[in-house]
Amino acid sequence: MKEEKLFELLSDIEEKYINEARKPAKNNKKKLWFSLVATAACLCIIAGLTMREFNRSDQHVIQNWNESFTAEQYFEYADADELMQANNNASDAEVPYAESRYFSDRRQELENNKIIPVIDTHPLFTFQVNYNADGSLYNVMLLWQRRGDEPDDYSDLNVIAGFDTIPQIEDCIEVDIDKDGNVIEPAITVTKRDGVEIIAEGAENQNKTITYKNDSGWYQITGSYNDKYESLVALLDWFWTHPIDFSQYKMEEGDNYTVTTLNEMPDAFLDYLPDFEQYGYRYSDSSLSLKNGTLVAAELFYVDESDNNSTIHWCLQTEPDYYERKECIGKLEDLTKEQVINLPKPDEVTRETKIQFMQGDYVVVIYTTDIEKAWKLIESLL
Amino acid sequence: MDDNTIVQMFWDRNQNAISVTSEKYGAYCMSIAYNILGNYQDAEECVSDTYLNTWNSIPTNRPKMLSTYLGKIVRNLSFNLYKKKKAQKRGSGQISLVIEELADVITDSNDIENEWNKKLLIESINSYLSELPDVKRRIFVCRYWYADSVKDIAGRFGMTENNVSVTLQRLRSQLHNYLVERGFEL
Repeated sequence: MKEEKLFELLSDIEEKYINEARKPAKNNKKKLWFSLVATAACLCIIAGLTMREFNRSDQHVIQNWNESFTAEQYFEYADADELMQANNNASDAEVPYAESRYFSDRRQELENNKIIPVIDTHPLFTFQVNYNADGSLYNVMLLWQRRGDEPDDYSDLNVIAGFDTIPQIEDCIEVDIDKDGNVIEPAITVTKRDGVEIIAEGAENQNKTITYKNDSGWYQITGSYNDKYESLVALLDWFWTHPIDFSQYKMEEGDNYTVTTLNEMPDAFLDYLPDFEQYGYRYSDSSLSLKNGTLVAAELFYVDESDNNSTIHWCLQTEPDYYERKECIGKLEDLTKEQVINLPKPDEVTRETKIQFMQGDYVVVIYTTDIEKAWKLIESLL
Repeated sequence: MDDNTIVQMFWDRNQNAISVTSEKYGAYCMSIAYNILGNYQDAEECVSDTYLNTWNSIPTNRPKMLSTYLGKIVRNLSFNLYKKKKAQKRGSGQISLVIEELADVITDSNDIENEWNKKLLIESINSYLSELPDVKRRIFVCRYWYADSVKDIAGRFGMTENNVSVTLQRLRSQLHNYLVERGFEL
């Protein structure tokens, strides 16, 4: 077969490509800026799980809710050893909706109007609404995030909701199958509250999910591994009494994010970037993020041709979030060479040092293997 | 232990060379062999043979990059075993999918059979790879050199599996066009 010959032939590609391919990926933090598509795919997976759960709840013991019901009781029958086997492994999932818009900037307004709860412990908030090709609403996603230095600081509280069932999302799901071909059902707890079945999955130190469907629509509330049951049940109680009015989120009113490259917008952030070429760097790749057509972020990759093709990764964010601001070492105009050179030593695997500072109201993050040369680039901006 | 020292141990015919190689690169070699063969027993056999081939080939070779040297040996040994198993209709790793995908690039060509054209072809492929952005090049190599699964690549690069699949599809199509433009009859 010719294809096999080609596979054998590829054995002889340049060694540097083979060697570089499996180097560890760069810091995930950088990817958050441009991870909108990935988020959309996750939504698709979770929405699909929701539909499956409604179909299987009759196979489980159903407990009845009462006024004194505790958060733990919602998860009464979850088995930590058998949890969450169905809500991953989505393979080659197609995003089932056509467009996404963002209402994240309205957090304060939505809190004031009691449309969403106030969660002060989580500085990051994303409100994404997804639409079908005809402009009708597909689903909404609310995400509150907390980050920190310690694993215990990490929290993602997520609410996904919609009012319609979309048949094709079933196709996005892959579930574990046993050796006889039977679907392995995750352990769940079903609680009946006001005539509505609430399905809970998860346990302490595991991701947790609460799913239900009532007259207002279907909801899925997800917490990360170290979120307490109470955090999820607080969201359940909120949306139980404050159902989402899906008609409020018209596509034309949301923020629209698009991505392009420096090739398409060569003058992007011209006043905020160093002249890389002048310092011996060759352009490699870029990703520019636009919000409603206005530039809001850039990720630029340049190769230092004079230094064994080492790279510099320069990121610029015009709307930095709480953590991006917090992690800055100072303002550009106040930076000193000594301060930059003495930053913590590079990661042993990537050998990159991270330099993060404010440039006006923007945040700049630089990942470099050559701190001295990076300083020269920074200095050129002063 | 650094690679130069390990290579020197092979040159000195120090038998500890194999154990330190195994300690440092055992998992790396195993991952390549397993990707291709989909069977631990077969993969282990190929990895053991890789150490033996390395022992027999150093000297006279003195690899600049030991990891890639080992990787090439284990890839070739594993692929040879895959072909043998395939003839016996046994075993399945990522490789059958990888091979299917490569049909997009080179469907019906005699160029690849010709030794002289092979040299030109690999030069052109290297040239194509050199023009790719880093991440795309790495994704291509992970899939078509290491035979890594789409899922593993997605995890490595923080992408969705769908995104990786689409990226690979475009890369294959681009490579095909790139080679056709350079006179290869594909």
